[in-house]
Amino acid sequence: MAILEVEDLKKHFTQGDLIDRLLGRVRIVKAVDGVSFKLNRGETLALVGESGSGKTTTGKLILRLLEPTSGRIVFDGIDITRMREGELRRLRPRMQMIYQDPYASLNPRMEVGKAIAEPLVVHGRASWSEARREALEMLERVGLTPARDFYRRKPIQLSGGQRQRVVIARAMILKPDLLVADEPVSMIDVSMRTSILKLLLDFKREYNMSMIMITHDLAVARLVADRTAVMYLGKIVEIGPTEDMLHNPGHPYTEALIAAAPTIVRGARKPSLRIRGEIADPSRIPSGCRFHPRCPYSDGSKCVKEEPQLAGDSRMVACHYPLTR
Amino acid sequence: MALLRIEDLNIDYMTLRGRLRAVKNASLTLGEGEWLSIVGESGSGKSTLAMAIPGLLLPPGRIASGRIIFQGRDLTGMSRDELRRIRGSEIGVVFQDPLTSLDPLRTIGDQMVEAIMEHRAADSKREALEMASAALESVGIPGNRVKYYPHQLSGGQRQRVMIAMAVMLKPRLLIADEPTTALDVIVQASIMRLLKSLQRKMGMSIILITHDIALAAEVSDRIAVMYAAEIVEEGPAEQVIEEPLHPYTEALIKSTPDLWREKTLYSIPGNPPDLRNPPSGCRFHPRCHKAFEPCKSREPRPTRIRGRTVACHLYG
Ligand SMILES: Nc1ncnc2c1ncn2[C@@H]1O[C@H](COP(=O)(O)OP(=O)(O)OP(=O)(O)O)[C@@H](O)[C@H]1O
Ligand SMILES: Nc1ncnc2c1ncn2[C@@H]1O[C@H](COP(=O)(O)OP(=O)(O)O)[C@@H](O)[C@H]1O
Ligand code: SF4
Ligand SMILES: [Mg+2]
Ligand SMILES: [Mg+2]
Repeated sequence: MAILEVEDLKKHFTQGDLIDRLLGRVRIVKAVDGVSFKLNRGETLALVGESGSGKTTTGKLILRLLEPTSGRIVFDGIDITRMREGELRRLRPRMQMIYQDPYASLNPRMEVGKAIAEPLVVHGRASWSEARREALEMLERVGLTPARDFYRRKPIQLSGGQRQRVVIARAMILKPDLLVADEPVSMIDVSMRTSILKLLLDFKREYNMSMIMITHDLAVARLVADRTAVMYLGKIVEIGPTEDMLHNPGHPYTEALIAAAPTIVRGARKPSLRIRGEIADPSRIPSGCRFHPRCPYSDGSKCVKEEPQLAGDSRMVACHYPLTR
Repeated sequence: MALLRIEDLNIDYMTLRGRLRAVKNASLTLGEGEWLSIVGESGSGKSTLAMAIPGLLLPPGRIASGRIIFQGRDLTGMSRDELRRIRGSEIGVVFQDPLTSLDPLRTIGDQMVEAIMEHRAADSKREALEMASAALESVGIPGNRVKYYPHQLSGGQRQRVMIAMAVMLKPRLLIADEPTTALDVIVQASIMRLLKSLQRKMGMSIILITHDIALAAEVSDRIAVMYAAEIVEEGPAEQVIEEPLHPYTEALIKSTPDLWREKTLYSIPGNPPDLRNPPSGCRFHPRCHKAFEPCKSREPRPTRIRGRTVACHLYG
């Protein structure tokens, strides 16, 4: 059963003030430009892509933290695309998001224990004294022991990794059905990433939670995600089972992401990094295949004129010349 | 010939809660044209060590003892003015966040020209501007972008500009402190490729600070591993990676997610220590799976074996 279904989701930001509007100078930033996927209960999907590819915007749309321009979002069988805030409030505890920057996501003046307990009280799930007890258990769970000592600390008294554990504890205390984790480890030392990811995986198993892991790092996707969706300029260009995709990428952009991942293995059989330039401005999306200006395989004609559509079964690729077969 | 020799360097931060030794008895040698990467967890002292070289330690920090011999001269005894002259012209520095080191209100060309004139590397502003635009070209940015303001560039381009500024006066040494940590993998790979080509073309030496040992493995000639203010292992990159001697190096490698190795969820147990109150004996012993009797009580001394230096009781 799908916990989440997303259909042709779009978010176009309009930039420019009244004068720009009068002069016809508005820019339409197509941050998310037609994204569709399904997420099953207990499944983890990674959203992978460079900065600016629309991952965060997609994550926020799914949780209705942003108003979609068009498309459909169905959460646990309920169409929430146009649902009003009052109704959404009842669903909010079931959908949580954690952000990249653990420094920014905690109130610097609040004891971290209280920050973890707070959602229970806010959503009327517990009294402060019950919430406090649960928060202490949670601190224990996420490895911040002695819990009583950590409960009273302020965020500034914690390291980056410890803060991210607090953020996770705060999101998990509501036992959500869906977690959107937006680059939860990209600001954390490489050597500490695995322990944070492991923590998320443990919660996921325990609560049969579904997860969307946003990352620009395929090595992170590989550790947690059953399936991976590669995004480029607001669109999914490849989606499929993670391990299979890593062994045998179908889209030239996926291949580039693989080529760019560092490895300690000398002589690893790594594709060479042949991608050119930088990601385009999403208010000026290239014609045809939006990846063509950077693509080493572009034919210079069909690729420039015709937009390739996602095609395939368990693995779908949007490219006129997929690398698989 | 060594370009840089660091001898028994100790660096302290004097804080209200007491003295914190952020670099302890560090010794390193860097040859001409060599790329050394310093790797270790957050708080291990990498930046402190690297920034002490060009005299960029921030206030409560000070060198307690030791020497930094660069091209035969001891930098620790130099005045601010002398160090300022060396920075830019002989030692270039690139920081993690280019936005904090660029002035948002001035064009990048202006800022480059100022640096060039300060070092009297050009006779006129016009010549300086030409140098600036050539420097941009050398890092893959069109020369006419001298007219741009920092916010008009992407994160990756800004970091290229920082690199252009750091190398435009052809320094012998470039120090880059986590230059790609805020960037994503594709941009990171292209910046590393750029640094590599500059190293080759200019015969420049590089010190890269990173917490990513896989990144270090791909680009470096030598790797130094820091743990809790100490260099625990140093040697040729290939050897350090293929046959790590120190258990911390081994754990660091094992805990790094890597697409080309078997998938594991291994992580180093425990947390890095508080440097105000470091563990006794070997600082890594509470987290070390090979710890034995002397580790708790005695500090291991750096020992040289097979072209490497390692500080661990397993090796004498
Ligand atoms: N200005 C300062 N005042 C007091 N202590 C400091 C200061 N700067 C750094 N420290 C301390 O010195 C130690 C080493 O810090 P340093 O920034 O050199 O580590 P690092 O290895 O570069 O870490 P990171 O990966 O987080 O950049 C840490 O314990 C840190 O808290
Ligand atoms: N509120 C906004 N207004 C205008 N543009 C935005 C806004 N939020 C995001 N964007 C733009 O949309 C694109 C996608 O952004 P984002 O979803 O943050 O990507 P990612 O998370 O993959 O880095 C970027 O070009 C970004 O600048
Ligand atoms: S459609 Fe053409 S330009 Fe686009 S990814 Fe495929 S080969 Fe490259
Ligand atoms: Mg983002
Ligand atoms: Mg640092």
